Amino acid sequence: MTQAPQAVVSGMGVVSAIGLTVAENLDALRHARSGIRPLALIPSVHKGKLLVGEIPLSNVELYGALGIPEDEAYTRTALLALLAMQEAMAEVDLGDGRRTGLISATTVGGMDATERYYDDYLESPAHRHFIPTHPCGHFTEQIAQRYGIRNYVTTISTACSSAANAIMLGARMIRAGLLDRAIVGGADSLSQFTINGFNSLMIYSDTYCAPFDEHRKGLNLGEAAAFLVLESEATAHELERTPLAYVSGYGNANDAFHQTASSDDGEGALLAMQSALKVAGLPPSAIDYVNAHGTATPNNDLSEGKALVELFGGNEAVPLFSSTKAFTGHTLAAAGAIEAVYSILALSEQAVLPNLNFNTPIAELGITPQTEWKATQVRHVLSNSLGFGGNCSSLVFSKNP
Amino acid sequence: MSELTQELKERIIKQLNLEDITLDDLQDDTPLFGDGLGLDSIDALELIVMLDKSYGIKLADPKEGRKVFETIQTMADYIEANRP
Amino acid sequence: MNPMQPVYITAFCILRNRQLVVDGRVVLANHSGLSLGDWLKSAYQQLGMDYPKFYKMDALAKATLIAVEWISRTLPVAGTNTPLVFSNYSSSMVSDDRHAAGIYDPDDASASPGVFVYTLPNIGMGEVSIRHQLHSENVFFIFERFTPEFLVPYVTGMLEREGLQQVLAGWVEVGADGTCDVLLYAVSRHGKLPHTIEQLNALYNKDYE
Repeated sequence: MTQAPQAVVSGMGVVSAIGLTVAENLDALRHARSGIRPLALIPSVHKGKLLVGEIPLSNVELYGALGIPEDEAYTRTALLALLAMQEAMAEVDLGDGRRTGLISATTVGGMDATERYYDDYLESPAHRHFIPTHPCGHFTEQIAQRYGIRNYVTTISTACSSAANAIMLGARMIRAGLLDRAIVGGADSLSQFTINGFNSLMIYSDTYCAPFDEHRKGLNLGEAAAFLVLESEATAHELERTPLAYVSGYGNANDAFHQTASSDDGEGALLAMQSALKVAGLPPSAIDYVNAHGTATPNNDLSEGKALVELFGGNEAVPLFSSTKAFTGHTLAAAGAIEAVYSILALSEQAVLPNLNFNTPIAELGITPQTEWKATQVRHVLSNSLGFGGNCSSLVFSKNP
Repeated sequence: MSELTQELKERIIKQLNLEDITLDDLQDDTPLFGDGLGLDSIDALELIVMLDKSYGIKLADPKEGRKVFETIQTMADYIEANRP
Repeated sequence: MNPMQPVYITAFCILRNRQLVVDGRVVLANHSGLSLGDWLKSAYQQLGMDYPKFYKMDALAKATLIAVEWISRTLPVAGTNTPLVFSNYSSSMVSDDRHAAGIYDPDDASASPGVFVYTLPNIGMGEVSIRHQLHSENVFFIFERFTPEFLVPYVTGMLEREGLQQVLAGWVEVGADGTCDVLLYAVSRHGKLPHTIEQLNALYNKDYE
């Protein structure tokens, strides 16, 4: 029995293609309402054609929702992050003297603004105040300043596992007694940069992504932001905040195979999941639901699927699992955070979330995801985020420690 | 035909950053993937881009690429047969 | 809670201003006339690595690989459980720029998959993991500057809490303008050079002529 303080989730906020709040996201998940649509907001040759998980608010509308003057330089990534923060922080009083840190995550950073205004920078001064917003650490600083967080502020950038790693670090800091509270999460907005890039890798589907389906053709990109408020059990108790869940386990490992493709047997994913279970002190059989990375690329789903079969000891033993990326798209650095929120909703709602667009199991695996919302006992959820660079992360969320 | 294979060799060495390979190392029938040159999946994608940009041929299915890109010769044959 | 046991810097490698320094010795003298690409190629050739994948990497990944290669010549790295804790300011700017130049070209927009692959700051770490078959934990932080104030407690805590033997950490800032500011180091439980903020700053700021 560990004596280290447990890290509980006492608040959360999310903004994605399926909703601007936790409640909206939950409603969409419950009613199988995907947010993937043809690209609408970004000037691009793919506009009206490419399927994306776009948040249906323009930047002007985001400024308005946050009450930020439009002449201040906030990239779309920053705006999405602030919207999610607003919800997550609703009941947090940072004047309560608790040691609070902010661990954020991104890959796009200010790229959305840079690609919009770069040509302009030389011609006119109109948008030059956006120049400093380009680097990945910038919006983290903006958040820290707006909320007055000074103790411990950092940004993680490890591709699609970024936010999961932020959550892992926050939980670790709390367990080590170094922080009482860690606000953890991530944000990435859609950009031509990433859209064109993923297209060049020929893993972008020309139709709605179908995770774990034999005929899947690739991913749809999405944009999102989510933050969790992690607190030590003692802090949450003193502040009379009801834990939504416990971050009971976490693990990270490298696949050491290829820059972007996953190894055939998903070794990195397997090691990360094993580490997470070890930290949680749980056997694989304790997991009631796996929220998979499930990007719907031919490579990921086969590789991750194999790792799941290996971890649980046979395809019959794999618990109920799904990928929620058919709702939101692959939100890159934010994925680990929004899917943490969804994993926690599975615990609070006692339900397994649906894997949309599924028809045929992957022949080589013989496992079938849960395709409909299913009310069932959920005590422990495993959530995977597997990033380029072989960076594999896995988190365990529990109803009780 | 040999002009095309020569051109392909130069293009491939440049496009794929094969800085330690000389033109002499690259025979018309050197296997590009697997044991020969050891190119990987990203290289295959680059070759698909090259096929499009330099020869106007669009290869929609990366899996078809493996056959086309087996050797310099198979590439040259494919280009000759399919260039617009 | 036990007090932190002292841990030590057991090897370090600096790539800066076209100069390569290993454990305090200049091993590749200043070639300020060379482009970053050519200089990194000469550093690679000096190591005699026979690793053709090197040529596909971008400057950030190359510099990262070279630095870890030097460390691996004196310390066990391959196949060990050695976590990687790397950081920089500009993320993957060196490849972001190239990718951007391709896709935003008004006359001939195109994306190169081989370039896009490197538009993430942790790919260099991934290349190190592949080269040395490391399945260990790896994380990449974004800071304004080399920040031992963050890295020292993080790495020390890791060694302390997780029961590990060795961690590789440091700063890998490689600019699109050809600047290279890399300091990577190994931290272990036994050694001579104390793993402290002061010591790292001293290594980082020293003039190694």
